[in-house]
Amino acid sequence: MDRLEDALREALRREAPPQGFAERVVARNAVLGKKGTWDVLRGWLAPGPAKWAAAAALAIVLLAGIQHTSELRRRARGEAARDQVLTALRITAVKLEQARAKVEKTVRIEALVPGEAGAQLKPSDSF
Amino acid sequence: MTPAATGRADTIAGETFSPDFASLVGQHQSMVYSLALHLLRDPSAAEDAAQDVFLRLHRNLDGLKSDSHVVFWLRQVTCRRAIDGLRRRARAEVSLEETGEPAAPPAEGDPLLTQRLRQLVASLPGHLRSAVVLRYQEDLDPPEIARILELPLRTVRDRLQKALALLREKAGRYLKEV
Repeated sequence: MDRLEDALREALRREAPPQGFAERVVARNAVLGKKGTWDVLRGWLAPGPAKWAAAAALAIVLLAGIQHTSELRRRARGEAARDQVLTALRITAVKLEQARAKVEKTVRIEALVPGEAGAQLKPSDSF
Repeated sequence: MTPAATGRADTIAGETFSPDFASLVGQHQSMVYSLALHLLRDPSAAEDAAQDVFLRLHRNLDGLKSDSHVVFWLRQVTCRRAIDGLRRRARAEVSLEETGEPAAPPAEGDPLLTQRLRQLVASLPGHLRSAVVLRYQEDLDPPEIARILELPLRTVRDRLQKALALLREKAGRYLKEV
């Protein structure tokens, strides 16, 4: 400890505030009220156990919703693919039926009008 | 009771801390006003700052757990408020270099010495001033100052040493120090 430090303690000692300071503070506080809009908002935004729990629950609901939506989309894509395959199969079946009908018709004509084509046919080739 | 001791009066364990606001203002007004005054150098600005600090205290009372917590909170918020005020204030401060040395050493307890030292402290940069005011007004140790200013202990020690060196340079001969 030296003289400078002692002198600083003396120079920087606490001082009483102006007369009526405490009354002015209390009066000003009464006018402003305990909680303003910002304080209410800040209270809502302030973290707390119940708010953390609510946030966690909300996060779980959101994740479940996202997963459910994703599952629905995946299922819809699967159904669309299945429909496409079925449509393709139906078209193929129709085309095959048309081809079979054409072949039958050709064979019947060849049978009614014997010719080169008919002569070339062997008994085992007939339908 | 020393200024530092007022910050160590904890409530009895287990009791709910529910202080009366008017009592808190009466109890701590001198500390808050003096901190603001020694940091801002302007009685009017100091009163505004001190009032502002107490209004904030009222809004934050729910989060304060004990008397010592209130004192710590008041010191911290007053310092922040005053340092912000210093930064905002546009008026030119008297620099340490601009302040001349006194003509002759005064007698012990001379009010001129007190006035002179206050001028010298007020001429310190804000970051040094806050450390000096907390050290010598509130009689706090460097670790306590570090907690209030949220600074590393080494930084606080460096600031105190630098501030004392600057003050000693100006007031050393005046105080007949080694």
